[in-house]
Amino acid sequence: MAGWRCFQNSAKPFIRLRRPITDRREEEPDAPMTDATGRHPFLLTTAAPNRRQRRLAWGILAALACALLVAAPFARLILPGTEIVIPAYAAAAFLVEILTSALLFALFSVDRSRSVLLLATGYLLSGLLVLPWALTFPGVFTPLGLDPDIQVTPLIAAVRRLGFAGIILAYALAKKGRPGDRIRGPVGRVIAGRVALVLAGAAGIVLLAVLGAGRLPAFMQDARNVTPLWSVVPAASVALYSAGLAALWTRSRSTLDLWLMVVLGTLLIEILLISYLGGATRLSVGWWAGRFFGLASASVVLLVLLSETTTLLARLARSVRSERLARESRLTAMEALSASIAHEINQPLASMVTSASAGLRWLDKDVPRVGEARSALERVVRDGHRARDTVDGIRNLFRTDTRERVPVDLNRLIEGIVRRSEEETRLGQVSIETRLQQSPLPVTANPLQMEQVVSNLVANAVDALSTVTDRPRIVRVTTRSQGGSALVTVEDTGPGIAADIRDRIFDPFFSTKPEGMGMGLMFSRSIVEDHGGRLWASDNRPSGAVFHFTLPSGPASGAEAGR
Amino acid sequence: MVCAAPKLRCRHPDETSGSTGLGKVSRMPGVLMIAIVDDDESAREAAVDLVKALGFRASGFGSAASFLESEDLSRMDCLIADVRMPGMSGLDLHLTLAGSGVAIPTILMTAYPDEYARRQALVVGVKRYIRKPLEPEELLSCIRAAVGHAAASGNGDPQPS
Repeated sequence: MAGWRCFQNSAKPFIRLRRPITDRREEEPDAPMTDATGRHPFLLTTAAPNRRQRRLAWGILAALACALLVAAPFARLILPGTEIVIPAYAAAAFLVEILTSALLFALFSVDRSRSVLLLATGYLLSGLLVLPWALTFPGVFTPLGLDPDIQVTPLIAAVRRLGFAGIILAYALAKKGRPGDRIRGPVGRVIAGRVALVLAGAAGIVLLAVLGAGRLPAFMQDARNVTPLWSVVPAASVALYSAGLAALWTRSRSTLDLWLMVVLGTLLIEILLISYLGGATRLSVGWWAGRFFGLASASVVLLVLLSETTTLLARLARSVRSERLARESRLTAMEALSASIAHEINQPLASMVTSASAGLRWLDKDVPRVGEARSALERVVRDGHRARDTVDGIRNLFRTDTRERVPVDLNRLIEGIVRRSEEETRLGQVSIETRLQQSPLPVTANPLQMEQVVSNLVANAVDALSTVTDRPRIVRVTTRSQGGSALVTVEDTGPGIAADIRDRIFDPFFSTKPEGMGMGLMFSRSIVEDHGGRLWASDNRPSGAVFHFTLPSGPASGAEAGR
Repeated sequence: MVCAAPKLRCRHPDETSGSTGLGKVSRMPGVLMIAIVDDDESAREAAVDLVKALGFRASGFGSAASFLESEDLSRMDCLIADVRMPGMSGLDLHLTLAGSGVAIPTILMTAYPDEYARRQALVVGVKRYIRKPLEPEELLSCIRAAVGHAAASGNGDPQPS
């Protein structure tokens, strides 16, 4: 009997079981990665920036503004011969932009958002166009035989600058989380198609620039100085950058949006230095400063994006791992529980078979031994009842009415339990005392579950006294109202709870009893907590343990009853 | 029931628990005396009764310790012990007996048969390793094999197989 008592204590862990396991499996690949709206809460495109990220962004912009002020007085100073730095600058800019584009394509492969794809395309195009820009720059690659028309470089530069600004603006305006924003279909094919398109586009732009250089309006007077027509390009860029900043600023911003604002701010400062403070004169201090500040800022943004992506992926991996661990431990607990249930049922069944065999033997004697056969059959009946009790106990766990709450007088419930456990206590030579509050102690509860809690605590107390020989074996049940709660304590004069196991007594499958399943206290606690109360243990003086639980007293509040 | 209850009962072997016909059988000279050690009360009662129905005398003990404390220890011709018991297991009981020079032929029974555990048990001198629920014919042949002489049939058993 000691074993099946544990089964009666039905509670949440079992109710959870009713959800089919297959359902969980289907949800799991996505479950840790998407929130209620189906978005990925960990991604740069959806995660809101934290204070540290905002501070860093403002810091970068402030540093750039300072650099701008420092460079301003010398902006028009020409640094002749610095053409040789252009390949290094171009290589760095190419790498930074291609890497950023790769990062954004990777983001797209998870996020599937059209706007992120657009942004990745923009970075790829900008990065690719750096190469022909540098290759056609007057006086840089001349030794290699490259000496194109001086109008080619500014054409490429104009397309690159305006194209990128336009794409960021398009991103800022488009990405409003519309349902049509998501692209379905194979990611690899979409990305490959987009990369091919950009490569073809860049090649076409270069070809047009080279072929049309003589026929299109001229941007350059000579190798260093621009025509008045060029002023259209920086002006248009400033307008596009400002519009992009405004669009990003006004809508709800993600971490990615924050860094794009830094990028636009940087580009704005860069164009101010190059085209206005530097007088748009190539190889001037302003021209170089703008480029290098822009490059430095782009590198910082790339590094930040990389580190944030890594951090977010690590967090994602951790959450997947903890989810898997939780599932595994749940399975282990289930295996242990099914083994316990099987044992509880097999035990009486085996005894029934043995008793029945014995009964047949007695009847098969030359002179049938009816008396012995009868007592064997009586044992079969007894064990059959025991097996049925076990099955009933398990079935009780799955009852649907465990959430049904009715007004219960705890005093009367406890009196009933004490009366019913008289035989147990008499056998164990335990005296059970009650000190119940004079007036009724009304709570709103599931009476069946409350009985399970109290009888489990009383049975534990009685069990704890089995080894006591040098002092009276006493179990005392006390009730009283305390604040807005009903407080019930069950104390015993047993050996008490050893300090090293105190933290574990409420764990599933932890038991100090040889035949204990270690489920009773866990179930009791979850029942009490399910009712809005608390269950805890403390020491009794001079020896023994006290278990206390509280329940909100009085009739149910609306929330509790409606749950 | 409380956990303590079986323990209290364990201290009183079932030998004298008054099932009908017991006295008659136990007075018969030459009938083998079998000890059953099992912590589960109903399993123990059933096993004791089956062994008696097979024609032997039988006595039940709720734990290895209560068996070792028993005054009837020296009168036992065969021991049938459950493998899984709180405290001392059936195998430990056998090893303890062997170690103290009391050679009682031992049969281990278990509801969870395990080939490795069976071989281990036979290596250390356990005579038989059988599964629960006990089958009368198998149990009879095991007892016979364990005590080592075919004459060890239960007295009055009409159908020794």
